[in-house]
Amino acid sequence: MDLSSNYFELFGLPVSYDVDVSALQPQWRQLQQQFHPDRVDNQDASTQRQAMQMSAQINSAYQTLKSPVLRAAYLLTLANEPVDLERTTVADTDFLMAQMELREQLEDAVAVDEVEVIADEAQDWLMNLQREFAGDYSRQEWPEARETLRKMQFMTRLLEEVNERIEQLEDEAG
Amino acid sequence: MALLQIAEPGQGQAPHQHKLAIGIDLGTTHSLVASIQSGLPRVMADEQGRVLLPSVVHYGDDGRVTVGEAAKQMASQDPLNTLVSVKRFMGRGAEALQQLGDQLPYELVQQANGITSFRTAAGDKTPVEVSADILRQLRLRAEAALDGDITGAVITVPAYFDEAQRQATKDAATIAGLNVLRLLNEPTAAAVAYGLDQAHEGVHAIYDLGGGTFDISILRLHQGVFEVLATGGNSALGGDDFDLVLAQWIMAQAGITSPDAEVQRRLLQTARRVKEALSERESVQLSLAAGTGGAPADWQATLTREVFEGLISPLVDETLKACRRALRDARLKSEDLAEVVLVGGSTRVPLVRQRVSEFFGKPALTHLDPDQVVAIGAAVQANILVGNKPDSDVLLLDVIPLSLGLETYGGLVEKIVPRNTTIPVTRAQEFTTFKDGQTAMSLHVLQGERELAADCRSLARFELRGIPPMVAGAARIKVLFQIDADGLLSVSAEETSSGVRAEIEVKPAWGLSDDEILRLLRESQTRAADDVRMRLLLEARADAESLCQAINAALTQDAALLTATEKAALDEEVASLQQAMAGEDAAAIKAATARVNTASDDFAAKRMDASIQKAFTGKHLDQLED
Repeated sequence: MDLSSNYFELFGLPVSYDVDVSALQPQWRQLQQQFHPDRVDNQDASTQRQAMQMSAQINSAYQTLKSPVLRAAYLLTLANEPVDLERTTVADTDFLMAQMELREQLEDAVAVDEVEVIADEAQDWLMNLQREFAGDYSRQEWPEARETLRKMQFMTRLLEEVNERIEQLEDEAG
Repeated sequence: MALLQIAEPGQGQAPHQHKLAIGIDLGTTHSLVASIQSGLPRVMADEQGRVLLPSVVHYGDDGRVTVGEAAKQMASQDPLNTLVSVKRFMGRGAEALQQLGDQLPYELVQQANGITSFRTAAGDKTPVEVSADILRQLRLRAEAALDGDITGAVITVPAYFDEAQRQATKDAATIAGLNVLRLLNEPTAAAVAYGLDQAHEGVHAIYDLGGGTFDISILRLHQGVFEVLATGGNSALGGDDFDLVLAQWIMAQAGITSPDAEVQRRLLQTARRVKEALSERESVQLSLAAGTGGAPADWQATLTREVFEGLISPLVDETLKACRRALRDARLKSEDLAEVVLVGGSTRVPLVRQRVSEFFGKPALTHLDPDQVVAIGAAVQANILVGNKPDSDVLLLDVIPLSLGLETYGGLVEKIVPRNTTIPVTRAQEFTTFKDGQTAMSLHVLQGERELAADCRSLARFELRGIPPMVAGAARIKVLFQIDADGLLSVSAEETSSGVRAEIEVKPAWGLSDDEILRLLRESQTRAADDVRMRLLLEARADAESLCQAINAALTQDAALLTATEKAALDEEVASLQQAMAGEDAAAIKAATARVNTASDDFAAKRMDASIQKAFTGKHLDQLED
């Protein structure tokens, strides 16, 4: 295992969308125990630099593997079918309409529990999209996989906004 | 001296083959230094036995630098040359200044390079230099106590310190002649100290309210690994602000309209004492003479704890907002927490304890001294980092407190590394040109959570030049953010098709340049001779002090063993030693110490005889032979 290993190899996992996220944490901890800069000779600059890189790589791998969107994007990059998540948009108009509706509900919501209902709905939706992506990926249907990933990205953004809204409402309530 | 301290056989100090490492809590109101000695944390005291060094520096017109308690004494008569709470200015400009009136308590100078300095009798001093003077004092204290050179130090910083504030702290340590092993977040340090104490597994919240900063960290402790899940806070909110609102209240009540620097200092000092008193009592009497700061008449009032709590309540609310956000970031509810730990002197305020317990729904732990716990945790980590504990499985996995990003078109911020990302970490992002034939790209590195670049903290600007001319959108510019285990950032950019590179260690605009740090380092090396003298002095004082204590203890017990003449002779030598200790001549203190030692030899011998006789009295011979 070294810096050139891919994230799945680093964590001793098969390259697949199905990852047991709860098992990542102990594995991550164990890898850091082994490679973190604090675990090597602090006085030697070159050892420190290598450890820093390795440790950073392990952290990036952990962040990527545990996130449904980042993991999917990483798999497409490994398959040489990369998606630029910043600059692409979803073509499915039904999906877009449904999104808009949720966003409007979010804007109108005035209480935390109203927002939490929206959060649950978005969460369910994201779960379904994840299952869809796993199927697209295993069948190597790249255009479909890319589209599903973009939808997942939309949903994740919405969830972030939902959280910000909850925060805002809670702060107002004190 | 040796004879007076009669040690049991086998309990003598064995020489340790270990490196000397220290942990420093560089605080807003006071600072501490600790080390691990024979496996136990020890917070080092000055010759009067005080462990807290007030973070106060006085600059005299003779260039003399006074740090700590002695400097604090000068604060009200010479306010302009006595710098307090300098931590608030680290990596910050004049906006960090808390003031009571129109008049600033300091004279600030804006230097050409954008650095804010304090104008003092000993010249202009940047916040970094002032902090370096505090750190140097702690280094000397540690060297005197540990009797050797320090291999390295862990310095703690508020978890919510941004890039610029961290860099400023590291610079100060370098100037003070310290080898920085790691910058460690204060709540994480506290968790280490608590973790050691009781090895509790699970998720903990560390609520750390100091003199000038507030941090909340949520962390999971599992098999020696301290994983920070989320952190939040406010690097400009602390007990000093309680003093400030209280001082403002007194001003309003007493009709003080135009306090000068001296009155401001006195008001703040009074406010601090009142705050401390109200932690114990229900009310405090206040009075003020007419004329103070323009007060129209003599003023007297009773301040109850209830009124005080009303004044500080909004500030406590601010801290709880940050707690709520940290919990949300960690995707946890307060029920998920095993414990809540209180750190920092300001958590002694009853309202803080009460509100924090209510918020988290459980009693808050306070059994370690909230002033010392951070320094102790830092010492533990320092001891591990120099390699004194190769078998330890303690590992700290910390996070960045604020998101890092780049300015994009239209003054917006593209977040590259979100807040609460575990460090060290590297993150790359691709950008492209937006004009045909564009050969240069300007990169603006930002920190903060806001959408607009103007609302975030500007960390650095640099340019990538020599991009081969291409049509808009064809260039592939890979920008790499690297954050090390101290939370310090470096950014590089590369056009991937041509390999043109540009790189920058993020040195914020108001930070010190490498040249300035070198200059200050050189200056501090010329002060190395002073340092050696100071260290000899501190050592001589420490030896003398422990001799005096030993003799006092011996006299309390066994004064009867001496004749009146012998006692008088010994008293005289002790008095002359105490006189020497008040001075600054290390050689004189040593000589006086030696004289006291000689004068006490007979006494020591008599005590030894007496203790042997006592041991023999009433025992049979067979018991003695065992």
